[in-house]
Amino acid sequence: MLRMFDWSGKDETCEQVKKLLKKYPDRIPVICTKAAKTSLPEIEKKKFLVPATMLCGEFKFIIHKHIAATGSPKESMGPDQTLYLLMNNSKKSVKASQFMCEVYAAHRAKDGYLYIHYSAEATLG
Amino acid sequence: MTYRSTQPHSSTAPNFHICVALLHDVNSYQQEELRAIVAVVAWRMGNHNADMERLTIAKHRVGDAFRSTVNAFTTTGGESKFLENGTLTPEEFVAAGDQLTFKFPTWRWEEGDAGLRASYLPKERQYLITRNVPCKDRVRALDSALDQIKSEDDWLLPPEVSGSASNDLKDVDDLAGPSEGKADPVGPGLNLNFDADDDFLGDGAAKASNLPDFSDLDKQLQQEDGYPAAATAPSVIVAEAPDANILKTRTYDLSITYDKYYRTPRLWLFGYNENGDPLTPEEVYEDVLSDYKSKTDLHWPLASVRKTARVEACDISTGSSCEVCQKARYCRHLLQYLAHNGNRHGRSALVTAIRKSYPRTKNDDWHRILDFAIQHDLIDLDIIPGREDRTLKGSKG
Repeated sequence: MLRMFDWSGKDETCEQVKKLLKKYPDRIPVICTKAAKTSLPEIEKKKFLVPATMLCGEFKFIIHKHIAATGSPKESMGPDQTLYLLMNNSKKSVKASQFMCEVYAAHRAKDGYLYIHYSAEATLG
Repeated sequence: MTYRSTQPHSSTAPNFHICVALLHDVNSYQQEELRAIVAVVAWRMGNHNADMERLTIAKHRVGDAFRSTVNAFTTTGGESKFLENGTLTPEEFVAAGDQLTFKFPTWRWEEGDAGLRASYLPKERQYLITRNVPCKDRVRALDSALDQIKSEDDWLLPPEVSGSASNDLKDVDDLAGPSEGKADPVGPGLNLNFDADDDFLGDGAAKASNLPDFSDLDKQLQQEDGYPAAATAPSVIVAEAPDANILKTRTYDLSITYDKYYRTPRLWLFGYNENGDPLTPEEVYEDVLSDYKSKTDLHWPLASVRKTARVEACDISTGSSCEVCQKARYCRHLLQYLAHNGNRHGRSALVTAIRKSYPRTKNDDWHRILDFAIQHDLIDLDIIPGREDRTLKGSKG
């Protein structure tokens, strides 16, 4: 399924990605860290191998749970906040109905990983 | 619901803007007071559960009353404030709605009851609605399914949610085969994720022995009625699994109204069960992710007997909801909106992006802004699509 991607980069990380994809051909390597300007806590595990057909909404839900699991009450999301996932290179927010593989095709970094940042905004009141 | 005051932008704010901010402050103060009074009244009423319900209703009625009072003294017109604080004028709302119905014909304008019409909107364009949006299973199925995360080395491997294309492809070739090792990370939690695909794609080959047993359907129904929305305990899930693929399809009507108080569109959910009976707010909560429950107000509108889930809406959400609607035929409703009064990072980033893209954007160029926003996914309304749509569009290589 991921054969469509063109592995032009030849650095070390790319080798690791290749290895991962060889072992898990239907999964996508995602590295998810917190965005620079957010009060949210760092999640413990940042590396995910998500199914290519997972929806972004589902992935966000997973991140949501990880944040809830790590954060002290002070740091975690406020009642009026909503979680956002942002693509590294474009600062675009992901759409819940997209597949992770669609996002990967559009936004993957040169080393073969998909970098996603999470952030929260006070949006609900 | 909390009322947040609009942050006036010190340098650019015209006087009118500040007035609105003050009104908001007065409101939130008085509303607190009234809420306390309502609480006392409700406390005296005896039965606790009924009280909570009445309290909720009363709270919203108070809120509604307040907003209608304020609405009577404020005007809707004036310049567009979309770029500054994300609010819409009624004209912009109508324009956005026209665009929505044009691009996605499942949305339609409605006239509404004559007595309830808003004078600031055209008679035939009072609100937007899309009907019969299917919602196949409950969010707790997803909840428990995604809980089964395995890890290897330092990588986390979330489970494949059932119906994924990779599984489908394999299973079609190997219909009667035993479940593959690959399915293992999925775990038992997924067994409750029956959907229509199961019948055709053999995703449930391993579950063949779990075929629904109709003999005690009534009993199961009764049991199900008693379940609290948040129940995710494995035993509970096992008990209800057998009838999940027969009885669970709900439909939702989604409508978007213009909220004069917040000057934003507001999204309304109205759900029906498989028999076409209206859902109670508690049942609607079963389709809202737990993290958003506290953020979703459920109430009975004054002018209607219908029970309606109300979700805070915001500026450009109109455009996005359609995008999702078209693409995904939503299943689960998890709603998120951009801030309508924030000048925080996200909002200013959005404004900067729009300004960069259209250096000569004028306030009345609403269409272009909306187009831009749709194209660039700057807006999103998180309605997680159902698994029946899980095909790899355009990405099979």
